[in-house]
Amino acid sequence: MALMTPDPTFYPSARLAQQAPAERLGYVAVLNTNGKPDAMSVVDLDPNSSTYSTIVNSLEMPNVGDELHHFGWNACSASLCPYAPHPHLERRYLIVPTLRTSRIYVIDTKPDPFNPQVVKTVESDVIANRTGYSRLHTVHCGPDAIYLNGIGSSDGVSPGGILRIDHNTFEPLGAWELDRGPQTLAYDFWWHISLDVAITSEWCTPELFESGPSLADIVAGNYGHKIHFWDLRRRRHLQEVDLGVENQMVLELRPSHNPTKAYGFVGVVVNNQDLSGSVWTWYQDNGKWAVTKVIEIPAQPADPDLLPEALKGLGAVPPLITDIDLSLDDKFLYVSCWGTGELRQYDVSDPFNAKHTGTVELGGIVKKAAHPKSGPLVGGPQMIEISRDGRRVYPTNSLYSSWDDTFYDNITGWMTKINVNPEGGISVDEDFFVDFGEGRAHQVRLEGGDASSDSFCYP
Amino acid sequence: MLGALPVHAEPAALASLGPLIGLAALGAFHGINPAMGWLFAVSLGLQRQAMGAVFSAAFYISVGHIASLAVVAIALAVAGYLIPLFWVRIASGIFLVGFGIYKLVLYYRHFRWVGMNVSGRDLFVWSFLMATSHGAGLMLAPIILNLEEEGSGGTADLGHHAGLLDLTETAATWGIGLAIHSVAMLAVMLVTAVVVYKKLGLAFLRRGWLNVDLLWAGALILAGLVTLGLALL
Repeated sequence: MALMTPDPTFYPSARLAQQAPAERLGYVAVLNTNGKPDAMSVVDLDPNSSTYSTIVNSLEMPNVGDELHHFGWNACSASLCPYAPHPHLERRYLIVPTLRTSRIYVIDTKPDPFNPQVVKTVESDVIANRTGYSRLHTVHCGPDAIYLNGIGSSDGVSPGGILRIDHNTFEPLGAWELDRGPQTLAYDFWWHISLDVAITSEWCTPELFESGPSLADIVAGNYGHKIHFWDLRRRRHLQEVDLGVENQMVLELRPSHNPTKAYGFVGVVVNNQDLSGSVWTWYQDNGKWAVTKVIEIPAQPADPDLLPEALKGLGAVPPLITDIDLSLDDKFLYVSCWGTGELRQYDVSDPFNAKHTGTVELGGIVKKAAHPKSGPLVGGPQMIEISRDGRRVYPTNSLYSSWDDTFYDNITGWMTKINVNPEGGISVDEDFFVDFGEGRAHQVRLEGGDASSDSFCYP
Repeated sequence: MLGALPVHAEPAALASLGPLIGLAALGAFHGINPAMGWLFAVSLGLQRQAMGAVFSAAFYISVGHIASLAVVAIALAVAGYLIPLFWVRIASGIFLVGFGIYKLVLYYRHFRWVGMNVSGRDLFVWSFLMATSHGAGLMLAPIILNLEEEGSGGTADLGHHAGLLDLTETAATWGIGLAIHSVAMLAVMLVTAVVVYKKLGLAFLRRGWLNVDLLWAGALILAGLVTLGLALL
C-alpha cells in the first residue's frame, strides 16, 4: 500500500491537474429496479480501444435494492495538503454509499481497473449506531479522513449530516458536527479547504423523496431552500443563507477549485412560483457569506397531453436543474436541465456574470431528442462529469428511481459524451453512446480523478 | 549519521564533535521532512501570495519543533535524575523501536489538529504536536543521553551523585546541542521552502516528494537500537 513517490494521480493544484492524461475508463453507478442488484459498470472511454463506448464489465453489488447514487475515491489530491500530508496513499478504492439501504461498499480498482471487486461492506446498522445517519449520499476524500454525508438521521427523519470514515480501515468514525446550529436538512457538501469552510445544501427529509416528489409539498415550500456554512476545522455551524422559500431543492455545491478564491455555485431544482430552475453564486461580503442568482432558466410551455400525470395541470415543463459541474479551470459551469433535456455550458470566468455559451439537446420530457446512435431518448442529461482537461463532459440520465418514474415512462439508462470547444461551445460526440438497457445510469467517476473528485490545497 | 557517535563516553562535555554533528545531521533530516513544516510554509506563501508568509510560518513552526524537543529533553533529564541512566536508555530504546515499527505500519495516521487558515499560534501548536507525535525529540535520545553521561563526568547514573554544578553543566551542554539541531533544521527547512516556492514550483511535489515517512520510521528504529546498544555494550 505504501508508495515511495506520490500517487501520480495526485496534483497539488487544479491548474496542474488540467495537464493530466485523458481518462481511459469511467466507473458508472447503475441502478436496477427489476429485482436485480445494482452494479458498478466499467465503461471504455479510450477512442483508440476496440471496446470504446461499451460496457466492458459490470460488478454486481452483493444485495438487492441499494439504490447506488453518488460515490467517490478513498484518496485524492487533498492528500498533498500540508497540515496532514500523506501523499503516498493510493487512489485505489471507490467508496460507494447506498442511498436507500444506507450501506457503504468499498470497491478495489486494482490490480485490474477493468475488473473491480467489492472488498468491504459497512452495514447500515453500524453506520446508524456510530454516526446517527442514514441515506448516504456524497463522498469527498479529505486530508485527514474520507468524508460522507447522510440525507437522513438513523431513524429515517432529520437531521441529516456529515460523517467521516477512516482512510485505512474504512470504518465510520462518528458524526462530524459538534454544533449543527439550525441545520436539519441535507443533500450535498463540499468545502473551501484553504478557508477551513464547509458548505452543505438541502434536499428534504427521506419521507419527502423516497416515494417520489410531492407536488403539494413543493407548492407548500416544504423542500429545502437554504445553504449552510460551517467551520471545517472546529466542526461548527457558522451561518445559514436562505435562497427564499420559493426556491425548492438546493442541490449540487461546486466551490471554485482555486483555493485563493472564495466563491462557488449551487443549483436550485425548481422555483415553485414560475417553475424556473436557477444557479446561484455564493461569495464573501464583509466577512459574511451571501448569495446571488446568476442563472435562471425558464420553464417551457407544453401541450398537457404530452406531459406526465404530475405535470399535466401545469401546462409546462420545468427545466429541473438536478446537477451542475465546474471545470477545473473554474471557467465553464455545466448545467443539466433534466426536465427539458438540455445540457448547458456557461462561461463563469466572472462568477457574477454567467454567459451562456452552448447547449446540447438529449431526451427531455416532451422533446425526447435523439442521439445519432439512438432513437428518441427517454430521460435527460442528469449527472454530469467533466474530464480534468475540461475537453470532455459525460452526462448520464437517471435521477432517483421513484423520481425517474414520476417524470419519465419506461426510462432506460444511457451515457453520452460532449466535446468542448476551449473557447466556448459544446457538441454531442456522435460516436459515443452507451446503452445500459434496464439499468439506470447515475454518477460517473473518471479514471485518475475528474472535476468533482479532488480538492486542492495549493493555487 | 549515527555511526559518528562515540561509543565510549568522552571525559568532558563537548570533547568530541561527534554528537554535535549527529544533532546537526538529525536537524537537517527533520528540516527536510515535509511533515515537519516546510511544505506548510510553502503553501501559506502561495495562498497569501507573499514570500514573507513563508518566513513567518517557518519561524513559528521552528519554535514549535524546538519546544517539543525541549519537553523531551527535560523529560529525559528528569528520568535520568530519578533512575539510573542504564534504565533510561533501555526504556527509551525499547519505546523508540516499538514506535518506529508502529510508524512503519501506520505512518499515514494523522489527526486534524489545524486547518489551512492558520495563525502563528496555530502553526506553533501544529508543529509541536507533529514533532511530538512523530517522535522527533525522542529520535535524539541516544545523543542527548550520551551528552548527559558526558555532562556528569562519565558516571553512569547522573542524578544520584551529581552536584548542582554538574546539572548546570549538563543543561548548558544540552542547550548548545538543541541550538545546533534547531539551527540546522531551520536552515534546511527555509532553503527547501524557498527553493520549492521560488524555483521548483508545485509540480516538484509530484515527483520529488519521497516517502520520508518510511525513512523516518527507519530512523526511529535505528535510534532505538543505538540507545539500547549504548546501554548494553
